[in-house]
This record gives sequence, structure tokens and C-alpha cells, in this order.
Amino acid sequence: MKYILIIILLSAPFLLNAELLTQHYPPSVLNRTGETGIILTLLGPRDNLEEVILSYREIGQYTYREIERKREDITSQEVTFLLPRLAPPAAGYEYFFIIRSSETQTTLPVNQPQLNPFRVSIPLTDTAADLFILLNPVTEIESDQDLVFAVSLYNLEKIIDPASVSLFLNGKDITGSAIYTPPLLVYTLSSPRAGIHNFQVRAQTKDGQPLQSPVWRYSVAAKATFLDELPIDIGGQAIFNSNLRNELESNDEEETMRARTRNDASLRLNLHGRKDWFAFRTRLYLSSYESSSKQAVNRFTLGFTVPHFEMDIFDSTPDYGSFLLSNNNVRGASLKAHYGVLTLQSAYGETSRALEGKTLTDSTFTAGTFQRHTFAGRLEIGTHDFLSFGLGFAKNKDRTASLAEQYYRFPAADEDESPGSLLVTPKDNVVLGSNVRLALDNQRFVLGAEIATSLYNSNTLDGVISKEELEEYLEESVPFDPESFESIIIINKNVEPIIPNMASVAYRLYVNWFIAGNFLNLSYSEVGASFRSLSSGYLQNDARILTVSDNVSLLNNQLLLDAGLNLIRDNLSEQKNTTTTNTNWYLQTMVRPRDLPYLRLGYNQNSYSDDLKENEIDQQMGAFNIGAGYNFVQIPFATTTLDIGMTLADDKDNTEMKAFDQKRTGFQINLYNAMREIPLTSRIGISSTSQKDIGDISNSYFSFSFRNEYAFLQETVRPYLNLRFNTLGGDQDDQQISNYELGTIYQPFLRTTVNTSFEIMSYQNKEIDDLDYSVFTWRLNIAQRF
Amino acid sequence: MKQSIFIIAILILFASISFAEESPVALTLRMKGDITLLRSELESRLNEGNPLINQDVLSSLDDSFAFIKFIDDGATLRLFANSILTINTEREEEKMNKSSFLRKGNIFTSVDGRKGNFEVETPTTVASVRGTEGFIDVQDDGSTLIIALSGSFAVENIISGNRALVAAGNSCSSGSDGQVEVFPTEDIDEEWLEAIADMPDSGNNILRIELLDQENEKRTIEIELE
Repeated sequence: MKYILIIILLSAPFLLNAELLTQHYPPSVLNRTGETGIILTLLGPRDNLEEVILSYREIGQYTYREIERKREDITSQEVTFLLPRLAPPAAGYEYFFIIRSSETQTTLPVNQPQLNPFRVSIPLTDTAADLFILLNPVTEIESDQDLVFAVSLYNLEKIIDPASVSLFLNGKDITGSAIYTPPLLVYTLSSPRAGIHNFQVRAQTKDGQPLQSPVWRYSVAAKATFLDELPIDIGGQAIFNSNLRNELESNDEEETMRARTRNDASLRLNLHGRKDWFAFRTRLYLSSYESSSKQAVNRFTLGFTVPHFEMDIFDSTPDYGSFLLSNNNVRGASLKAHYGVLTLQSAYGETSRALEGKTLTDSTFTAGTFQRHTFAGRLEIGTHDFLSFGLGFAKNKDRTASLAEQYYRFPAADEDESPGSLLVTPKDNVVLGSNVRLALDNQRFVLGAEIATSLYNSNTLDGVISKEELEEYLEESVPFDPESFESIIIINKNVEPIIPNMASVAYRLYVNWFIAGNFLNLSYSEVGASFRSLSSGYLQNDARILTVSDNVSLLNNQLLLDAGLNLIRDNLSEQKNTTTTNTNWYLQTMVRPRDLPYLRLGYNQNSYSDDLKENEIDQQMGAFNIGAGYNFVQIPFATTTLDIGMTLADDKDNTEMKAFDQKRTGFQINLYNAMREIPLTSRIGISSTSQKDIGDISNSYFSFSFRNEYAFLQETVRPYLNLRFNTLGGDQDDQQISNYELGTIYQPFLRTTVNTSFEIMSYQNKEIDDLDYSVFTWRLNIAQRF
Repeated sequence: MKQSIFIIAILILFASISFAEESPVALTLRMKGDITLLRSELESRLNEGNPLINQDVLSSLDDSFAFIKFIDDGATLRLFANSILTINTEREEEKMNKSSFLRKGNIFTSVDGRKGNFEVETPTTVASVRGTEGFIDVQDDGSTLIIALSGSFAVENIISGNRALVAAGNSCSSGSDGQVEVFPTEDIDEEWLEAIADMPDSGNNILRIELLDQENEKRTIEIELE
């Protein structure tokens, strides 16, 4: 029981603080000589995180491109994306993040990210622009034309060393493919690939001084597709993903290897379009995990927008605030009408579908799930640009008839006896809520508050109670007839609270303030013990939460300071014997002077404790991180980035039980290398962790990873090799996990990408051979953008 | 001994001159149809991206054209169908003087006069171009028509020695009989204008042509170059 309590209490802060916080500092400038790392920091639980997407485009371009990081790729709180190398005349990149969890999708920046994205520009340097003569100034190339790039070095002929002349296409040396008959340098690209092609000429004077031309950018048009011919603007993407796995594991009884297959596939199709005042959007997600015995995984959305009105049918995730409706998929319809400062929203549909339980014997079954319907509405007055006030409700009700009785009630022992006990109960819930939001200085200062109260019936099987029965139950008279409220909520002895009080109230206050490179977030919330909202995911009642974080950027983004505190305390109503407190605070800094090595330091401490004299829970976990890195631009043939780090962690259970007392020391080295003369990139990662626990138990972990990628055929084909070796040793069984992956990324057209790979993963336990297994996986990912 | 060294030096110099690769002076940036390149008595088909050297002879067939740019960025030249043009330049310190020979056919020139002289010689005429855009058309008998669109052309008939200055908006005929006549431009072959519109240009993509209408009033045609 104690352990269950510990687990519940440990998980409480995560449930309570389900919101994933994101932090990002744009780099001061783009790296002219290679890719530029963009780091997004995720703070908080990542349990429901599905993927993080970096959406980016060149400044001045219309279309955003995307880089995805799937959940399995996100192994730490920092998610790193690499923006491709970009050189003048391009000005830089604009980008924003999409953070997609199983239930919600948020962006960073939060408000209108496409219109207000982060920006990072290219540093300017001097070029010998006037001395190089570009002979073909027509930079817009049709899809059926050859690209003739020609530069005359007529003005440089007397001072230049002819042997030093070299031509670069998209950063790669293509001098060998060009024709140089001094003073003319010509390179012809037959059937060029659609997209941007950057050319630059580099040379040396006869006395050894380097010279470089501006970077000339040619844009080759993509071949028109049938979508381009339509009289409507259409965009979107289709992504097919499949994993075919064949697992081989030891069979103890027959001393043979047993094979089994485990496959999955998904298809995501997003399509949106616009014609004058009409816009539409469709989303389709089909997964092989969809099953009638589980909650819906597939998603279908069809939506449209006309002036003053929006509608989504089938699946949508409307957000009416933290307490009314959020983080829930509604399968039905969602409407929004707005005129001037008035906005009216409404949603109706299924938030949970009926699932039958399993049949154990002829007369016994496991619990099923009732179908739940949600109906919500919200009226807002004002605008998000300044002041808005909202008032709304949410009604959630389980349909008793959606589930056969055998799946929610044990059968009676015989016909004369009363019905058996309940496996699961249908619920009824009404939430009323209001919010106010003030935004000043172009959203740089946002002050808001939300408040809500609820009525919750934990079992509606008995139906509505009569007024007389209720008065008898309460032993006092009540000023209403429960039967007259049956259409709103079924009132009986299971309603909480029957008489509204502060325990059924939840509220939240928050401030976001961005001023002079300082981004301050402050949030305080209390959720009463009786407050329930079945339409708001991840809401834990009977708790108060204080969250403070501050990000400071100084010296033109060269010095970053980040600090935060998250404090969660339960037992708001003091009805429990103990109150537990979870405190998490962190402090981190990063110094990254331009063109010099960067340094980062951080400390994070998490503590859980109760208020008992002799603590049943008292745990403290702390981790100190230090790291440094440098982008070696001095290496002439390769862009190289080296990052090293060390972690010291101390996790301790201070109760009498002393369940653990871990001390960990970890080292990490990451090396990224991109050859300049050939399109070869490689990454090497090494990490080592040693851990000591109570009872003189010591374990060690070692990991080595290597990735190599080579691009050819105008970068349309990029084969890659991934190797990863993990070894576990010490007092635990000696184990080794090896991954070998060979794949290729093929981009036959600008908007089409095919990524396929074969991977062999083998697990070896050197102490117990029977535990060995291996998995062969064939992955196929096809992405098509429209 | 000294005599031997002198003979060897002469031989090396001669050999180096003989085998030295001629430097390109212009480039074929765009072309369409069939155009023959005659270089050192060797005939080949002209392609986009081909460098051109002095004394290269270009012969265009029906429905052909080429866009040629000189490497000093001082001039561009559009060669139309059924034309024969010999490329020739001469370097004078930092400048490159261009003096091409148009045996027959039609070209359009666009010249930056600050980067060297630009002359076009025909069987009957020498047209000196300075900061000028215009057409030069040569008939089979060598008679030449010059249409000045901007700037001016200095025209000399090499048979009679007659000279004329052709300002923008005017044309000049220079005949095989030695006659030179300047008159207001009234019309330009539509095919020529279409050909210009289909060719690249540097920077300014609008070509403005001033013409006189039937009432002798100036009117301007604007062609947007692709």
C-alpha cells in the first residue's frame, strides 16, 4: 500500500503539471560555413509527446519546410534541429516549432507563429563583388531549361592565380565539373533539380590573398503539378510510415529460437486550401493500432472557414481553457462564430467511445468503458490583442445504454438476490467557467485568470433522486427539485458537491512578460478537492501549483540565463492525513561568445516529501551538468562541431526505508563533421555513466553511436549508416545492445521524400543466454508535400 | 652557340603562339534552333554555355536565335535567324573593343560604351555603337538597315565613304550603291520584337522603343523581357 501511495504521489506532479513547457533562444547569427543548430528545450513531462517539428523557411520565401523529431528520437530535454547551410544573398531563416502530443498541438511562438516566427540572419562579410562578372543574371530558371552559370574573371585576370579558381555549388566544390578557360568559368547543369542553387567562385590572388565572389542564387521552378493548375490555393502533406519487425527470441522449453512478427503502419494526410474568402482543411490519420477494443486512434477532420464562421466536423480538439475543455479529442462538430468583439464557440461529440470488457468465463467479464458525450459552449467578448472576457460551460455524460450490463456489473449470485457489485460506473459532470485575459504591448505582457466550478456525479445508475429523498438524506430542506435539473445533471447521493462550496472551485492566475530580453512566466493555480472536469485532460484535483520561470538573454544572445521553480502541494482541503510537496527548481546558463567556444552550466533539483513527523516520503534528486563545445571553422576541409559534457547526479531516499541512494557520474562527447569538398556528414556520440547505489551496488553504462550520411546526384540520394552500441556492466548482468541500420533518403522530386532503412537490433545477456533476442526492422517513410 | 640558343628560343616562342589556346571573349548564354559554329575551319553545332573566341563564325538557320554576352560585361548581342556573324574583339589596356562582322542577317545590340568600343561591320557599312540599343539588318547584297532604339549609331558606308549619325527613333539605310539615308523609324518587324522579348537581358527587363506613327507623333513600345 505504501508503495502504491508513493507511486501515486510521484506521478501526481506529472499529472498535475501536465503542461509541457518549452524554451528557445534563437542563435545570434547563422553559421556561414555549415549547418546551424537550433535547440528547443522541453521542460516537464514528455510522456504524451509524439513529435516536435521545426518549421522553417528562408526569409522572403513563402513556403515553410519541416524537420521532424519523433518521440523515440527525443532522449533528453534538449531537442536539436540543424538548419541547412545558407549563404548570401539569402538573408536568413524564419522558423517556429510545433509541439504535438497525443492530445494537443501547441506552437512556439504561441501566437500566430507563421506570422511572427523566430528569425536568424546571416552575418555579413566583405566580398569582391565588383570584380567578378556574372554573365547570366537570369536567376529564375524554368523547369525544362538548363542552368548555365557563367562568370567572367576579366577584371581579375591580371591579379588572379588561375590555378586557384574554384567553383562551389551549394557549398560543395564542383570545379572539376566546370569548364574554366581563363577568364571564363562556365558550369552547365542539365535538367537541374527544382529548388535553390547557390553558386560561389573562390580564388586567390597571385600573392596569396583569398578572394570570393558573392553567392549567386538561382531558382529552378518545380514542374507544375495538377494541383498548381487548380483555380484554388492548395497545400498539405501526406506521410506514410511503416515498420515491419521480425523478432527472434530464445525458447526455453525447446531450446530453439522463436520468431514472431510485429508490424505497424500509419498514414497521415493533411490538406488545406483557400479561394478568396473560403478556406478548408482536412486531416486524416489512419493507424494500424486502431482497434474496436481500444479508444480511437484514427482521426478524421473536415473543416472550413468563411467570414465570421468556422466549423470542424468529426475529430477536433477545441480549447476552451484549462478547466472547461482542453486536451480532449471531440468526435462530432466544433463551431466558432465571431463578429466584431463577440465570439461564440460550441462543440458537441464523443470524447470516449464505448468499449466492451473481456469475457473471462461464461458469467464473468472485465470492465468496459461507457460512451461519453461532451457538449460545451463559450462566449467571448473582446479580442486577444487587448482585453477579452469569456464565459462557458461543459457538460460531460456517460451513456449507460452504450454498455451491456455484464461489462459494468457483476451478475447477482441468483435471481432473488440484489444485483452484484459494480465494475465501472457511468458519470455525469457539469462545469461552469470564466476567464479574463489582458494583453499589452503587442502580446509582450499578458495577464490572465481562469475560474471554474463543477458538479460531478460518480454514479448515475440509480437515476435522479426525489426532493424528499434528498432532504431526508441531507437532513435539511433544499430549495430546488433535483428532478427538474435532470436534463442538466442527474442529482443523487453520488453528486459532489450537492451544495456548492469552495472545494468545487478551481482557478488559475498567470502572467507572461517579455521585456528587454527577459521572458518571465508566472502561474498559480488551485484545484479544489471536489472539482472535476471530465473534458479537461491531465487535471489533478486537490492541489495547488506555483510555477515561475525566467529566461534572460543578454549581450546580444551571447549570455543566456534560465531559472525556474515548480511547486506542487496537495491536500488543499486538508481532508487527508498527510500533505505532500513536490518542489522542482533549476538554474542554468549558457555563454556563447560569437566565434568562440560555448559553455553551459546547469543544476536541477527535485524533491518530494510529506509533512509527517516520521516521513513516509522524503526523496531528493539533484543533477549538475556542465558542458562546452566549439565549432571549428579553422579546419579547411570540414565543418566540425565538438560538444563535451559531464553530469553529476545524486538521488536519495531520506526516509527510514532508504529505498535508494544513487550517485551517478556521466560523460558525453558528441562530434559532428561535415566535409566541405564532398557531401559527407558524420556524427559520433560517446557517453559513459557509472552509478553507485546502496549496498555497494555499482553499475556502468556505455554507449557509442555513429552516423554517416553521403549525398549524391544533386543530393537527391542520401544513403546513411547508423551504428549504436550500448553495454551494461557492473553488478548487474553484463548486457550488450547493438543496433545496425542501413538506409537511404531519396528525394526524387522537391516535395517528395522516401526514407527506407533496414535495422538489426540484437540484445545479448552474457549471464543468461535465454534472454537474448534480436529484432529485424524494415522501415519505410514516404512524405509528399503539396 | 648563341645562334643555336636564339633559334631554339624562336622555335619555343613560335610553338607557344601556335599551340596557345585562344581565350574566350564571349559566351552563348541562350539559344534556340540550329546555329553552326565555324572555328579554325572546324564546324560544330553551337550550344548554350559555349564560349566564343575571336574569329568564330556563327551561322543561324531558320527559326534560330542566340543570345551572346561579351566577357567584360560591356555588350550583349542577339543573333537572329538566317544570319552569319564573325566574332572579333581586341583588347586595349583594360577595355575590350568589339568589332564583329555581320555578313548577312539581323542582330540586336545592347552596348555599355564605357567598356570599350562596339563596331559592327557589314559588306557595305561600319556602324559604331556607343551606349546604344538597336537592330542591324543586312540583305544578301550587303545593303544594311540600322534602327536606333536608344543612344546613337555612327554609320559609314565603306563603298562611298558617306557618313551619318543615327539618333534614337531613326533608321538608316546604307546601300551597296554607296547611298546613306536617315529617316524616322515607322515600323519594326514583329518577329524581331518577339525574339527580343524571348531573350534574357541583364538588369533592366523593360525595353522601350520609340517610334513615329502615321501622324509623325512619337509613340513608345515597351517590351517586357523574360
